[in-house]
Amino acid sequence: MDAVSRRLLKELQDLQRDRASSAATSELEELAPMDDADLLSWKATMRGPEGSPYEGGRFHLTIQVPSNYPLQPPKIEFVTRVCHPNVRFATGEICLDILKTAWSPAWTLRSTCLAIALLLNHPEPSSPLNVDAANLLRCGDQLGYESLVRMYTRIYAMQ
Amino acid sequence: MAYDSARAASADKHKLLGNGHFAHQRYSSAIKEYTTAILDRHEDMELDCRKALELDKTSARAHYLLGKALIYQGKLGAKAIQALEKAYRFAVDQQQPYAKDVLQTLRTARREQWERDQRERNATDVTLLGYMRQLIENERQRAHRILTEAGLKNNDDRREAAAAINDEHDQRLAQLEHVFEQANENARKRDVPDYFCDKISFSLMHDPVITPSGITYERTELQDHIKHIGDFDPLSRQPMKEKDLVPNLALREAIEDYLQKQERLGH
Repeated sequence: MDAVSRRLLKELQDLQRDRASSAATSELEELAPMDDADLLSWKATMRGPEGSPYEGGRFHLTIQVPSNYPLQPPKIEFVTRVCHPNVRFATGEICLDILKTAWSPAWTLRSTCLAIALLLNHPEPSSPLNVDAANLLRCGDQLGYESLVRMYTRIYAMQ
Repeated sequence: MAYDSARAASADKHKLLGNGHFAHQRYSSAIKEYTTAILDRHEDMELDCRKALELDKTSARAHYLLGKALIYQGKLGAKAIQALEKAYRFAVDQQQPYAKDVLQTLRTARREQWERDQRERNATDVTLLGYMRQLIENERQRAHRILTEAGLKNNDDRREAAAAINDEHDQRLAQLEHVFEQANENARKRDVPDYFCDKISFSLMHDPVITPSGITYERTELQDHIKHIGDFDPLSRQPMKEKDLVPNLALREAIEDYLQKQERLGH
C-alpha cells in the first residue's frame, strides 16, 4: 500500500472511532470515501452552523486527494450551491488559506472540513470569490447579506 | 550475479518440470514445481547478498535484499528484521533514494512478526481456557456425585440442590469467559499515543528527527517534504534545511521502550 492510502486509512479509522462521540455536536454530518475501492475521492455533508443564515441547510462537498497528500492539500469544493463571499457561486470553489498557501500536513480531511464549516459563519469579504455577497458585507448591510444567504440556503440546501 | 551453478541448475530443472505439468494441465503439480524453483532462486538471492556483504559490510542494498530474501523464503524473524534495520541505517547515511522503501518493508515485517507472535499467544490462551472450563465441569460433576451420595429423600429438595449446583457452575463458566474476553479486548486496543506518531504520515515513528522549531517528524517523511515542497518546517513554516535535522534520541528510546512493553504485555 502506498503512503497516501496508509495515511487516509488511518484518518478513516479515526473517523469511525470518533463517529459516535462527535456526530451530534459537530457540523460535519458525513465524511467518507465515495467508494471502498478508491480512497482518493471523498464526499462530505455539513449542516449550516446554528445561529447563522445557513442554519437548516445541508451542504454537500466533494474532496479530491492528490497523490502526494498530505504534502499537498486536498481539493475541496461545494456541490450544493452556496452563497458566500469566499465561495464561487457557479462552481463551488472555496477560497481558504489552508487549502492553498497555509496548508500543513497536520490538517486532516476532517479538520479541514470543520475549518470550512467555520468559514461559513466567518466570511472574509476582503478576498471574495462572490463579489455580490462580499459587497453587501463591505457596505455594512448585514441584514441584506443575511437575507440573501437565507434565501439561497432555502432554495438550494433544504430539501 | 554469481549464482551458485548447481542450485541454478536445480531451479531450472524444477521450472522445466513445472512447464511439463502445466502443458498437461496438471496445475497443482505445476505450482509445486514452480514454487520449488522460486524458493531455490530466493536461496540464491540470500547467498548473493551474504557474499556482497562480505565484500562491503555497509551495502544498504545488500542488507535490504538479504532481508527480503529471508522473508520470501518464509524465514521472517529476528534475522530478517535485523538485516532491514541495518539496511535502513546505511540507506539513510548514504542518502539512498530507496530509504523510504526500506523503512516500509521493515514496518511490514515488524507488523507481520507481531501478528504471528499474537496468533501464538492466542492459541496458548485458547488451550488454557479449555483446560479451565474442564476443571469447572469436573467440579460440577463432583458436586452432583456428593449430592447423590447424600441421598436426599425429598424429591423437591434434591431438585433444588441440583439446580443450585448448576447455577453456581454456570456462573463460574460465564465469569471465566468474561475474563478471557476482556483480556482479548485489551490486547486488541493498542492505540499508539499521538506523541509517538509522525505529524505527516500519522504512523509510529522509527527514526524521529527534530527540527529547529522543536517539532519531531519521521526522517524519511520530512525529507520527502523538503525535496518536493520546500526548505521549511511543514508545521511551523520556519525556514529549515535538511542539515539542520537532529535525531531525537530520547523519543526514539521511548518508542522502543513502548514497543517492548507492548510485546511483554502481549498487546
